[in-house]
Amino acid sequence: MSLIKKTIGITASVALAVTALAVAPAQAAGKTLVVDTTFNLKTLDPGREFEPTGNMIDRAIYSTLMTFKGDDGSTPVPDLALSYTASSDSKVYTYKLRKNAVFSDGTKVTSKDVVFSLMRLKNLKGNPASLMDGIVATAPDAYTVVLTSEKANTAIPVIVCSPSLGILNSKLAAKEGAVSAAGADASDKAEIFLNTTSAGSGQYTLTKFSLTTEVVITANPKYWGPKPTYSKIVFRNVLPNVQRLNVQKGVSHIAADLSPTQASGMKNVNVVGGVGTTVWFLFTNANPKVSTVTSNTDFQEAVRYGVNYDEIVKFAGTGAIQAAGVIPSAFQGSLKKADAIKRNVTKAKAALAKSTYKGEDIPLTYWGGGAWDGILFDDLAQKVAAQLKEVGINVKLTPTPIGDALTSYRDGSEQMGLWFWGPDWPDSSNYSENFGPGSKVGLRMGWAAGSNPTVEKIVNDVAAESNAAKRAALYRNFQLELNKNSPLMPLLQSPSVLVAAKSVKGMLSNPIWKINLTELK
Amino acid sequence: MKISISKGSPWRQPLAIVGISVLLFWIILAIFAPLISPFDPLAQDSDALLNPNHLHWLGTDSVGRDILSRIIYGARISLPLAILLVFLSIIVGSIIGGLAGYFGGWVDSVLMRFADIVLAFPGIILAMAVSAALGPQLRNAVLAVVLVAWPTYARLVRSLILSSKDSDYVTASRLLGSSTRRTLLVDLRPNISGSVLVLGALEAGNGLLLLSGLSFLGLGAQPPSAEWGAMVSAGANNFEKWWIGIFPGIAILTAVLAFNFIGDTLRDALDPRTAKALRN
Repeated sequence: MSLIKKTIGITASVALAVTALAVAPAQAAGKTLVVDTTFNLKTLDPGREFEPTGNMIDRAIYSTLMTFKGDDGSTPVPDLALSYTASSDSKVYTYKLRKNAVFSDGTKVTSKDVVFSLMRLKNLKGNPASLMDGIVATAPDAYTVVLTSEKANTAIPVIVCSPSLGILNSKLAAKEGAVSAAGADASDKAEIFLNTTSAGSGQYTLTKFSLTTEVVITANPKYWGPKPTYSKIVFRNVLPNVQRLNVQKGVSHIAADLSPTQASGMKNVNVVGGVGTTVWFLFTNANPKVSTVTSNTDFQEAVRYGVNYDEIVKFAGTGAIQAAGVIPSAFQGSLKKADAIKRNVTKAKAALAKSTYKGEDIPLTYWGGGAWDGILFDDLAQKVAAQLKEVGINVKLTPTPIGDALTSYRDGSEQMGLWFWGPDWPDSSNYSENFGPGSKVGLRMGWAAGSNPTVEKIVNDVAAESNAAKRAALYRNFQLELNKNSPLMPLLQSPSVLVAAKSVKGMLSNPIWKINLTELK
Repeated sequence: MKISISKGSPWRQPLAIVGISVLLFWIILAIFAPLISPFDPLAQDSDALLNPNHLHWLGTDSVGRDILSRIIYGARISLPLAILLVFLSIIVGSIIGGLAGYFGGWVDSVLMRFADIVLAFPGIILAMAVSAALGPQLRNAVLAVVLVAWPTYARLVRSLILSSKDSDYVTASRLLGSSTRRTLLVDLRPNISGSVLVLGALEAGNGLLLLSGLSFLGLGAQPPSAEWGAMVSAGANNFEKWWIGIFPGIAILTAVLAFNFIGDTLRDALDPRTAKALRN
């Protein structure tokens, strides 16, 4: 009996030891990071993606010419390009590529891939195409890329860091239907492929993609740089309150969308605060074809002075501030608190009386069930609606799933919209180029070119101005004019807070991709 | 149909008394909401996320609205809609079931196969699909629930018609020259209405749950409406603040239980055997 017991004991010990030996290295090599975030995602095709969650994921899948480190968003550091030079007139930028970079299938990254990717982005004419406005990419040799801009463009060094300018494996992508030539918007068929299998040279490759539940990326074994700490990252679509619970329970490692209020009082976690660059705004569509009411400037004024900005900031919680203008407070030329729009009920009511509004319901479209920086769209929209009701405007809340809401926003068909804007590149030019009449967001608000010559002149002047102080003054004038005569009402600037389990080291909040996932320890 | 409340009547059973009392409680709250409610249910005048306190007995929600006032006003939405749902489902189900049972043949086959198709889907999934297709609003959610609920009534009515249409009194009525419409409405209807009413009372709770479920999913009542399901949904977004979701949840629970108790009682009262057993 004793012999049998001994035999069983020894066998069990050996089995346990063998199992431990087998499992231990696998665990070390198979470290998984679970990131909870509320998906604002339409695609992972870099030529088409322009959403915050897309930026966060594509940054890990696709290398770009240059990139940013940690929480910085202003000093480009080498990625695929080792260095660049700029011409004195800020029109020609020459990038020298590194020679050791390879895609996830082992193919070398050359200037041909860069030109293919950037020209595809431009010719797809999708949302991020504006990043390549007036810019042409050429390749004088296999490891040199030249970007030539029609007009002086000092933002190019930071623009090339955008994940939308991720470099595709041109041979593989072309085989799967990607087109970079003019007409790509009609002939390119690679989006489905790029939402199934990535074709980049970043630290990770795409393993699983779902717009509504989760995205999984796995470490790229062929990555040419330092190996990432985590061999797999799982992004899960989760509302902020559940993110908070999950990270506390240890079910996830990072909660990306908590407000400072939600993050306060959490134990055994690291809380990283970043400079908030997300600006929330309200607009009334200026296109009379969309609405004869909201396009009326008196109605716009009634909304502008009807919103209770102080209440909204109070509602948004610790760390939130009123957006004095559309440019976030950390950027050049941002407005001071004193310049912000202030509620004036009398003025709002007087403007409403002068307008064409007759008491009808005005639909306010927003991302139903959505949240960003811990702020729920549903709650913010209800706040705005109740405040406008006080001045006599009946707002019909129209919560809409993110895909449909983005479509109606982007095609300019929303009578009133509640949205936020995070910078595509960390420079005030991102705002002057996108919020004027006839520009990207301008058109989404139905604000056609020619609607406000003062703003349009400032936009043109600032693009040509290279003196920093003069640029700052122009940006201020741009926003002051927007605050007076535009369909746009900047509401608040939300703080960025990341919460991570203690095991996650080196996490920083980045203004473009929110989390420096590829640098985590 | 005669309902007796004499001694030993099912209406004197404890569950019946609880059900009626709770339903009366909600009806009174709904009718007198403007007088009873301490605050405007849509006013965001208070601080957000306040714990239950002496001023706000059930606390405030994420935009500073009084939860008690919203629950009281919510009764004005949820209860009439539960009754409306049942009413519409009974009408649609009775017409379809009546025609199928009375005419039989291909009419019966077509209508009942259609009912089978509807029943083959899980109720909430079909209601979600219909509601999402029509657009998320309360009216469409009601239509969606009716679309899901009518086959139950149709089947019951059909079976009741089938068992009575060849009865002597129906045959006699026909021989006296009654039209189909008269036979259905005057001769057959009184004999099936009791059973349909029982089913309706039992299903009112289910209808309320389904409607609240759709609102919870964002497919029914839209903000800032004080509908109970939508309020539970707001609670789910702030579940560390337990009071936001739990009180409207209790409201739904009590209303559904009340409907179920009343349905059970109605069934007992209209079933002579049960009624007799209770009396003895």
